[in-house]
Order: sequence, then C-alpha cells, then structure tokens
Amino acid sequence: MLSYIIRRVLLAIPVLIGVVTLVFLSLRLMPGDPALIMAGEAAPQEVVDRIRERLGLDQPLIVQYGIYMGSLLRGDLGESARTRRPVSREIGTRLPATMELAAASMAIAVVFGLLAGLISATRQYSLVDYGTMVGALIGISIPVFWFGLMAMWIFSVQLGWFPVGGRGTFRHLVLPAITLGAMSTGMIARMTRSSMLEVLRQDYVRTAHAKGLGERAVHMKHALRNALIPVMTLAGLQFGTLLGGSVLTETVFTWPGVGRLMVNSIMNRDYPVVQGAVLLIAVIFTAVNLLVDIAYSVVDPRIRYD
Amino acid sequence: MTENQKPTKKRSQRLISQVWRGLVRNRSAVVGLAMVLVLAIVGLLAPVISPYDPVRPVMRERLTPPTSQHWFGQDEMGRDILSRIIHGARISLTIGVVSVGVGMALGVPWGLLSGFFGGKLDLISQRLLDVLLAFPPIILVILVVTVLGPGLWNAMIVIGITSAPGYSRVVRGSTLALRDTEYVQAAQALGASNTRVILRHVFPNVMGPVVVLGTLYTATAILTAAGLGFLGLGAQAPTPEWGAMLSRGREYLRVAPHVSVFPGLAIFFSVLGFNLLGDGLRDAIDPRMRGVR
Repeated sequence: MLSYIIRRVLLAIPVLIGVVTLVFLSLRLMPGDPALIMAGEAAPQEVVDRIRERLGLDQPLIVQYGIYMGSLLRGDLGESARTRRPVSREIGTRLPATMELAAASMAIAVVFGLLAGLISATRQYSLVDYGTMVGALIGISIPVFWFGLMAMWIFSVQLGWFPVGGRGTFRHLVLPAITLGAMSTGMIARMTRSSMLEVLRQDYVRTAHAKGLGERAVHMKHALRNALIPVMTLAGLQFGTLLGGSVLTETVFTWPGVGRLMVNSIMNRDYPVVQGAVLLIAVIFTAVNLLVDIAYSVVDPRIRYD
Repeated sequence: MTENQKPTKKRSQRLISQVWRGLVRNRSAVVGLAMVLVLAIVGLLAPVISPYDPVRPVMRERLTPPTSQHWFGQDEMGRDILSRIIHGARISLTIGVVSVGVGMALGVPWGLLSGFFGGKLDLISQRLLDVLLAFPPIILVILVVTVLGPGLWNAMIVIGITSAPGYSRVVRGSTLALRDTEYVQAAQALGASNTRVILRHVFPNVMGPVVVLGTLYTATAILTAAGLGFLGLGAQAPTPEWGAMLSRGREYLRVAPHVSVFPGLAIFFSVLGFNLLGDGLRDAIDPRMRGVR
C-alpha cells in the first residue's frame, strides 16, 4: 500500500515539472517584451533595461528557466506587472474564495449527482429515470455563464432572494455554487446510473438477491460500493472542470476568486499573475487527482497490483 | 476500381447502414440529429434567411424588447437579435468544424503512432499527455489564447489543439488492442509496410470512437468558444458570436433581459443537439465507450 502511494507521488513529480515548463515557455513566448510591459510604454530605456536585468530577461533561455525554477521552489511566483505586489500574495488572497466556491459546488454535484444516478438506475426506464436523465443532459449542455445570468435575473433581480453578486454570507454562495455545480451534477448522475446498472447485472448481486436480502441492502451494501469506483475518478476529474468553470462563474457573479483575477489580469496584460494562477490551478488539479488515485486504491485493492 | 476494393466498400457501406439503423432507433439521437441539421441549415442559409443586417446599428431603437418586426428584440445598439443569432449559427458551425478538424488532425496520428510503435515514442507521448491533461481544459485554452492573443480564429485553433490529447488517448487505446489482432499480424506477415498496415487496417477500425468523440467535442468546442467570447477572449465586436453577445447583454440584464436570453438559448440548443447526437452515435457504434468523456 505504502509503496503504491510513494510510486504514485513520484510519478506526479515529472508531470509537475512538465506543467511548470509549459507555463514558463508560454510566458517567454508571449509577444512583446515583458520588461517593456512592466515598465509601461512611455518608460525611458534605462528603466526598461533595469527591469530586464532584475528579471534576468537578458540571460539565455536556459538560465532564465533555472532562475524561474529556483524562485518557484522558494514559493516566489514573481511580481504583478500592475500592482508590483508578489504574485503569490495576489493569488493567495483570492484562493480561499475560489476553494470555497469549488468545494460547495463539488458537494452539490456529488450529493445530487449520486442521488439522481441511484434513483435512475434502480428505476430504469421509468418516468423518474427519463426525467432525471433529461435533467442531467440539460446540466451538461447548458452554458454555465448563461445559466448563472438567468439564475441571477430570476432569483436576484426579479425575486430578490439572493444578492446580485459578491461574496460574504451563505446567501452569496448559493447561486454561484449551484451554477458551477450544474454540469458536474449531470456528469456524476449519468456516470452513477450507468455504473450502477452495470454492477446490478453482476453475479454477486444476483447471489445477494437469491439469498433473500432486501432490495435496499443489496443496492446499498453490494451494488453501490462497487458502482462508486468509476464515479470517484470522474469526481476527481470534475474538480478540474469546476476550477476551469470558476473562471466563468466568478465573472458572472463578481466572485472575488482566482478565476476573476485571471480574467482581469489578461485584460490588463498582467502576465505574471495569469501564469501564476494557471500554474496554481494545474497543481491543485494534479494534487486532487493524486488523492483520488490513492483513495481509489484503498477502496479497490485490485488497482494496486497493476 | 480494382476487384479487391469492392468488398471493402460493401463492408463499409454495411457498417454505415448498421450505425444508421442503430441511430434512428434511438429517439433522442434522432432529435439530436434534427437539431444539428436545423443549426446547419440556418448557418448555411444565414445571409438568405436573416431578416436584417446583423451588424447595422439603429441607435434610436436600442434595447427594444421583442416585437412583431423583431421577434427576438434589439440589442444595445439596436441591432436585430434574431439576425445576429442566425449569423451566429454560421460562426458556431465554423467553430465546431475547425476545432474538431484541428483536434483530429493532431490527435489521431499522435494516437496511431504512439499505440502502434510503442516503446520510447509511446513513453514520451504518454508523459506529454499527462502534462497536458494536468490542466483543466478551459485553463489550458486561456493560457494559449493569452500567448496568441484574443480572437475567434485563435480561439478555434487553440480549442482544437487542446482537444488533441483526448483523441490521442482514445485512438492509442484502440490501436494497442488492434496491433495484436490476427488480421494485423497477417498483413505484417505478408510483408505489408507499417504505413500500409496503419492506414488500411488500423486507421479505419479506430474511426468509430473518433467520430463519436468528434461529435461530443463539437458540443464542447461551441461551449468553450462561447465562454471565451463571454470573457472577451474570443470573437471581437461586432462579430455576432453568441458568447460575445451574451457578455454585452449582461450589462443590461436589469433593463433588457432579452438581450441575454436568446443567445444563451441558441448556445444551449446547439450544444444539446451535438450531445444528443454524440450519445446516440456512441450507443450505435460502441456502447462500451459510455463515460469516455
């Protein structure tokens, strides 16, 4: 078990190095001189030169890469071209908001997705099944930003039940979390249904029925636990969808998170912040999937012996 | 036509008619196909059927709600929303075709070579895949769009590039399985070159899942491009792209919600159509692919 975990963690390291390299290259491939952007168009040449020297931009690419890696290991993501504050602080102050939103959406997606999938699978081809699956398909197909706008128009502007935007109380969280969670709820519901239907056809489920166990015991004890395994992987992957979707949801609801910071930074050509945010999101996503993989091996010991 | 090509053609025709029968038996797939056809027809005939010029502003009629002359109302510059949505269908179709084309053109050969030759090539390609899949898709798109600059064409190409790992993964899996089949080994024993084996024996057999994935990715591409348009990173004004239209409408949500309602419905309609069709194709071609995406 422990050796499997160690192996998985070690395997994640080259992926992270690759992620950092890709982000670094994108920063350097950017059209325009970063030093000039930082100094401003009207800045005198010596100011631009000084910034270039300070950032190490006058060094060969490989040296720049070394400097970048070195500062990353110290937790230094560079400084914002706009505010001159460290990127890590810019992002750090907004990360809790994004994590709060992503966690709430994930909770909604897992609870409602699992419930909907379970109900659908145990009543296959019934009206409830069709209804649930149509709902899931709508969740997958609806543009998250439009869903957010419409929810805001109906429940905030027309009915006044929730604030129009911003963060603070629980009521601020409701609409953004439902909006962001809609797609993942649909995905998890569909996956739970098909996974559950597959498990319900297995011999051990028939055996459990044959020995006279009640419907509920068979579904909960024998079927659900096995059906959950692929759902877990999907939920891990959905966390990435949530982090990505948070860019749009945060923009709609003016939620002060990393996604909105990223969009604003693109508009302001504040590239160090964009790259820092992308890097952070990729690292969080990799870490979540690593945890899911490990959890997966705890639930299903067959995985470890691959 | 040589003689040995005839049976192949018959076989592929048989396969197509088999998939077609599977598709028409599936009610939701038929609905999806109809929706996609509506989108295609509207897109193709846009200049003919659109009642007004989609980009001509009529400032004194700005934000007018739906009327008998303007069924979907007028936007913040008095432009006819229905006409803009009709022209937007053409843009969405282009987004779907271009990004899926780019994704397939990169991802399919990548998966074929990686799966067929294995070894170091496969190892390197798998690690690259791991790195690309470590980014949530839209985040990777945003990163590359930041490098290339905003714009509709850049968005389409980037969405295509970032979908390539998805095709590569599916094609590699199928290729690995096919490599060990008897007919591929027989072809190799008869002295067929690798190129011939890949093109004639492996490639046609991996196309099923690729078509399914392509249909589902069309939905994702339309959704992502609209998202970029909404963020101001995709189509630029005055292009009647649905996401960009929504982003403008957002500013007038309180006074003129119709400006946001209709472009969103159009995106939803197209994405739903491609998702339904993709699900149906998957069930008709390969039910084991359930949950691939």
